[in-house]
Amino acid sequence: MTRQILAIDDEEAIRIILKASLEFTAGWTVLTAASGQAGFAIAQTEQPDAILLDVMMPETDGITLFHQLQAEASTQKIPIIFLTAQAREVERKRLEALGCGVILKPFEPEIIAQQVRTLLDWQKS
Amino acid sequence: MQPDPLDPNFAEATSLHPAVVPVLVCVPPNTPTAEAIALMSEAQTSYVLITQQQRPIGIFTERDLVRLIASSQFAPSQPISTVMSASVKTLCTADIQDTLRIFQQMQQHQLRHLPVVNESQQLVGIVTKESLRQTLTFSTLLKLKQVEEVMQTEVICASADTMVRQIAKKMNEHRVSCVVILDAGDRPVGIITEHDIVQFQTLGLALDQTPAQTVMSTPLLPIHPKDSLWKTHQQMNQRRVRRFVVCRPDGELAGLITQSSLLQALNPAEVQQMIELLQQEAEQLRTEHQALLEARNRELRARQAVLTEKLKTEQAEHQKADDQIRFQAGLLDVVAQAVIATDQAGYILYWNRYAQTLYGWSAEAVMGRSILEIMPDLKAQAKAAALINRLRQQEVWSGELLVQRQDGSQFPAWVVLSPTCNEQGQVCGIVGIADDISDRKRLEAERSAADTALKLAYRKLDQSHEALESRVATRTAALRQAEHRWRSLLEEVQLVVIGLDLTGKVTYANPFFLELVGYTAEAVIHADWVSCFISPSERAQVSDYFQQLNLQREIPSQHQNTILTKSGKERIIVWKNTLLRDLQNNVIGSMSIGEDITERFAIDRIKGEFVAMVSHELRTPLTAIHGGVKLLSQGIVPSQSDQGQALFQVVVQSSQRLVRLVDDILTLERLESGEYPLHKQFINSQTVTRQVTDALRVMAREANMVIEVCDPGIPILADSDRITQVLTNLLDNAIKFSPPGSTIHLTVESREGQGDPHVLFAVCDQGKGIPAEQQPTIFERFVQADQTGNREKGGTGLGLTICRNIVEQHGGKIWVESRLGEGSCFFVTLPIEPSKTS
Repeated sequence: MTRQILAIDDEEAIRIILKASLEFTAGWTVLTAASGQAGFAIAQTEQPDAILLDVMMPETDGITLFHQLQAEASTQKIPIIFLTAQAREVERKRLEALGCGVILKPFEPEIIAQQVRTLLDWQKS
Repeated sequence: MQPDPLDPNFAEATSLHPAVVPVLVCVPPNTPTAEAIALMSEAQTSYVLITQQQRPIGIFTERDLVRLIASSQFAPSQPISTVMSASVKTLCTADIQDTLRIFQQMQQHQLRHLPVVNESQQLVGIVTKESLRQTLTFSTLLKLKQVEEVMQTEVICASADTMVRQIAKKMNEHRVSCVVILDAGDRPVGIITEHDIVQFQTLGLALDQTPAQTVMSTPLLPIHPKDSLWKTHQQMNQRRVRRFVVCRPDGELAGLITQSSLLQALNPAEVQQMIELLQQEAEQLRTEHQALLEARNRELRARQAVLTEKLKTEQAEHQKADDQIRFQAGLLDVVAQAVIATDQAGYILYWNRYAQTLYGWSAEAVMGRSILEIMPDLKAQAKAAALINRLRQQEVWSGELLVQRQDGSQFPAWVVLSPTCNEQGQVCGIVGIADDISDRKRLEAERSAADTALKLAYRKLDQSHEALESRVATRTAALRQAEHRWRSLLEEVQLVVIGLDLTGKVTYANPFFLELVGYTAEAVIHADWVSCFISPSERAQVSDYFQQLNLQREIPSQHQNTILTKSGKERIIVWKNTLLRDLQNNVIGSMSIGEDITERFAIDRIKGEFVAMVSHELRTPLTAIHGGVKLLSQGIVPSQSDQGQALFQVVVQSSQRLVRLVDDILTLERLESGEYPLHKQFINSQTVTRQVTDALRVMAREANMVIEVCDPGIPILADSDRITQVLTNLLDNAIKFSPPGSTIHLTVESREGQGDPHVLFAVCDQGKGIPAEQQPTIFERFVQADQTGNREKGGTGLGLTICRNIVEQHGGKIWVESRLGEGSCFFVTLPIEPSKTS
């Protein structure tokens, strides 16, 4: 079964790298969104298997969007993995405390799919 | 003609009654009228009696003359008998009784003259109203009555210009003896009487041509309605007049008082009333006298009783004094002191029972002997003799004497000697009181020894006390010094120092704290620390902290919280806390020393944010480069595929962005640290604008935009490269954020009118504008109005920050004015230095 992943990041370069990495290494379908609000709309309509969510975004940032998704019945069950450029331990713990997986930037494109599987406890598919 | 007391007629007349006076003017019937009148005038009488052989046959009065004048029938040479009143009413001497009866007879016949005749009808005198009035002696009655009670109120008056004859006519017409003359205001100013008419006639006045005012009697004697009749009577006597005009105090005419009025006051009914009144008074006086007499008797009896009582008391006192003497003698015998009395030579007169016990001699054995005989030796005898001499000078002596008992043994005695005096105050003896003081002497010796020991102990105590005080003083000085040192430290230290008691009330606050929060010491001391100074969100936590601290629980001595200043601002303080203890080691509060880290905290936060931003900004292109290169180099994405090409482009763009970012960060860092000195020189503004437009024209054309420049060419003093950098940045932004087909304006103008002269550069676009709330912050690092699109447009988020830095280094300003949907204008001013503008 092909997984569908939603990648939300305001940086186009990151969206391109993420899409290429996941599609070429895991064969998942990758949807992308350039802002929090666009991502929220796609999440509701497409019901992806997981969301890769950038923390630092203008307007609706990652944390705000996380709460928005949690509050919405149709999206609250979608697992979320945060992408952050903040290398600080404090920041990582804060995100993990929300019950989410965290992947740091810069990430390794060849293993990011594996990281997602591990975090979400997915069997290889 | 005055009555002559020697005239036998007068003597006879007055002996009959005081009112019977001698007849002053008598004429025979053939006397011419004028002559008779002249006599009348001369004698000042009101009548002329016409007699024949000493018998009265007629009378001619003033009134008769007035009548003649009034009717103009007066003929001077006519005999008096033709004009006299022929029917003369007389009074016989035998009928004369009292004054009242005579007056009643005169009133009855309306007469003013009553000739008095003897039994043979011979004239002996006359009674006139004047003579009657002069006999009035009822002074009390007259004093009691007032003029208004008896005066005539019907008065005949005339104006002052009335001729005398008219006056006479009025008198005759109204049968009155006088006319009152009034002034123009109807006030009485004078009087003309019948008597006056007589005088005028005598003087030959032209009565038809003489107005009253020239001859009237004036001024009038002021007689008032309230005056007594007695006063009036006296005035009549003094002034020899027969009537008075009565005027009210305001000068209005009230009436006339005549001799008849006075005499009328004496009617019998009045007199009877007076007598009754006097009888009542006498009765009252008698009663009062009786009462006084009785009171006096009572007083005397009372005084006698008092004296008797006093006598009894004195007798009782005598008795008591006797008893007292006996009692005192008894006392002297039982008293536990020897009492001895001697005469002034020292011979013993009294020797009480205790003296017998003390000295061993019985009273019988010593009575009559000299006191010196009981002295132990010659020395004591000499002293005693000297004392007796002193006592004779009335001195009192007390002191110690050595005395000998009958058995020869001696003892010290305390003796008080005083002289006794007789009634004349002369010394007549001596009384001595003596006491055996052997025991007392012994006790005194013992006490003296104890005193000495005590004094010694006190001295030692004093010494140690002094040493202690000296130590305390030294210690206090040291403490003061330490206290001073601490206090000045607390007062001057640039740290907050707060003392709290166990209830959380402020007990001390140093000046630094007061300055920080903006309160006075009075407002702070005793205030509740947590509720007054701690930020509401931290109150529970701070309150809990101090509870734990005061209970000496294991908690960190350092903590951080936010305090509120008077103006409501927050300051972040990091505290170090210590417990304060009293001498018994009980905790009494806490002392907290705090550092205001508000600024440091803000800097740290900004630094942290900057690091986070930089980290984010760096990691993003790095992630893209790293990811793209790996996917391509490991062949995960075929390089020839579309995705592969896209990855290549991502890598290239990200690399460029990384380079720009590093460049901008370095530029900013150098600008801020001053490593980039400005190379200012005079340039023409057109040089700059041309450079900028040349560089960006291609980019604009690609974006389908037009750049319009309006630059008159103004000389400016600036670092050409830096200003070019600023304008390039602004124009680059304008191109990036404007829709295709729009025009971008770059204008330069000189502003000299307002404030300091300056050059104004403006870059205006037709983009979507910047929200008002973002306008103040867009010059901060990594703040971008349109963040969503910026990354794609290659912005680093540092461009405007660099611009601001350069402009401010030139002493200029940069700001933005923008409206959403219409576009934005970025303005830059550069000052024109005054010396160069000319």
